[in-house]
Amino acid sequence: MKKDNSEYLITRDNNIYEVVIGLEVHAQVISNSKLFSSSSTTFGAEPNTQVSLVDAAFPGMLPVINEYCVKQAIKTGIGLKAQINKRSVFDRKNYFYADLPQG
Amino acid sequence: MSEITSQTLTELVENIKNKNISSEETTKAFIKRGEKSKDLNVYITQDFSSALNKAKDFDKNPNFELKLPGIPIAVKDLFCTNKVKTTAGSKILSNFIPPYESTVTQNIWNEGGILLGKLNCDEFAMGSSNETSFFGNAQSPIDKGLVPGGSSGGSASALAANLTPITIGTDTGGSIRQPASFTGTVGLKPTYGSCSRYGIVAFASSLDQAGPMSKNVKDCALLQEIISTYDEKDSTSIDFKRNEYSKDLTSNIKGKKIGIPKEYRVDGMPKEIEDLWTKGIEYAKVCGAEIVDISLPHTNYALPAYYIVAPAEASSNLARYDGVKYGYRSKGENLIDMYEKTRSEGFGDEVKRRIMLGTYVLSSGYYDAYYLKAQKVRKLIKDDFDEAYKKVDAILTPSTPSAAFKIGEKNNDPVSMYLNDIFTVPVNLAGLPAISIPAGLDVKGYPLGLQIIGKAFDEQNILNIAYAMEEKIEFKNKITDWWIK
Repeated sequence: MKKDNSEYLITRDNNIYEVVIGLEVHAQVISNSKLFSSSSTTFGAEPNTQVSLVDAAFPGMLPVINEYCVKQAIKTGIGLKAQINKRSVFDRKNYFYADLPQG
Repeated sequence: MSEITSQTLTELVENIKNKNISSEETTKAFIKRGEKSKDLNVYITQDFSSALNKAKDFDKNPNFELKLPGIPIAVKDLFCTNKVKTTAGSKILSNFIPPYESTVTQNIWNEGGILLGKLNCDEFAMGSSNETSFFGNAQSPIDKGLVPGGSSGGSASALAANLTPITIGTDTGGSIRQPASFTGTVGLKPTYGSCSRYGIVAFASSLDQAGPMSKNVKDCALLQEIISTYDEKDSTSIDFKRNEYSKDLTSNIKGKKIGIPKEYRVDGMPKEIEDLWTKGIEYAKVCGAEIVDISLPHTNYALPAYYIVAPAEASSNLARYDGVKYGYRSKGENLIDMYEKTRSEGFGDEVKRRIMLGTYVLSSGYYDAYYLKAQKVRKLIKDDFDEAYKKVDAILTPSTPSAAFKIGEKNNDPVSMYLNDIFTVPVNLAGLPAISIPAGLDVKGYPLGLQIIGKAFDEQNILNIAYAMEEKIEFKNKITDWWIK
């Protein structure tokens, strides 16, 4: 808890809490191809014309991160005066959804 | 000239280059023997007529500069092959025909290799005996009713039975080295990142590596130099300087320091394995190597850590098999019902067991206790090897804790089956290269293998040590052709 930030403190049931708010922002990166495959991201294209073997989760297909999207993310971070981490890690979540070919 | 099918890869290449035999003759010989060997059940898919056409095409316009000039080769059915059915030994992919080629197999075809067919394996490479295959157990040519090991069991059988001059497998916890050990053949698991995983049906992505299987070390070195390439399509492929492993091969290993880890002397180790190891140490000394006692203190925790990490990754990798896009699909009342029926009917018992294990150890509340802990153990195992390699150049151990067992012998006891991987699993967890070479026979005449573990990217060194020891061991496989009528 930081000092001199009393405006972020609230008291409930005789306990003091610091208010910390995080935002989860979903925004599409402006790029020509998808984040983990080389498929096009052109808006308004015919259905199923921008699906690669990676997107469709074919056996043995591997995601490769789009370097341009990483650069865009770093630029965004710099623009927001945020700290840029030198190391990033991905975790997978699994759901059986109709629109999630990888599961 | 000896019979075509009993020649080594090196001999075949030489004979084709010198025009003593044609690619067509060679391919025909392996096809003929394959057709007489149905009892071994090594093939899931035979691609014989196509192979013969390719061989004829090669002979019409031969390129003898290639490293595998018109050489027919059968491969494990875990490698996706363009327009040729690829099943991973599973019902759920029993009708799957990929419209693409794995990088490793493409490398083989680029050097003139010709696909003979796809070889039996444990379902999704999960097994140590080939018994979990949906297509039935591949038989070992060593003896009737004997398992060839697994998961690359069909590959090992086909190779030992002279149905293919060389082959490739995949190794997640021992799946190349254990079947090589059981069938008197050579098998190399390369460093993680050496061979591209692109187009290989995934089991546990942080452990899977493809590698060569062969009748001798020289052939192994040649195939490794062909299949190991940097590949942008696999983000874990590593761009390091690869040797010309067969050209750089030497049996001069004078002064090399070889470590003997005391923790591998496990309780209840059969005397014949103990004796084999002692014999191996003597051979290494005769070759001029220096033997050093070392310790890998966390060895005991490797198997439990592996059986958390591997199922966890498998449960995620296998989530894609839902009956929607390709493969087997069952009829359901609605989407969820279809998913459930497809996966219930499409996967076998061992695959289901590992998906459940993996899902459990990744579930919230258990993640820290199991998965995170296992990852920490994995780091300690890697540190053990790093520490040992300050003192030695390579490590010598037995490949397996026993010789091959009978089909059905361990069916009701998954843990006893898992124990088969005890000497091979630490290598995968640490991402290191290791080779198994045949080194002796047990009392029943079944082959036993020795494992040489190397430093990361030091395939050349373990190939050299294996090459030197092979010369001294002079192992001969006893294949009686009992299955040929």
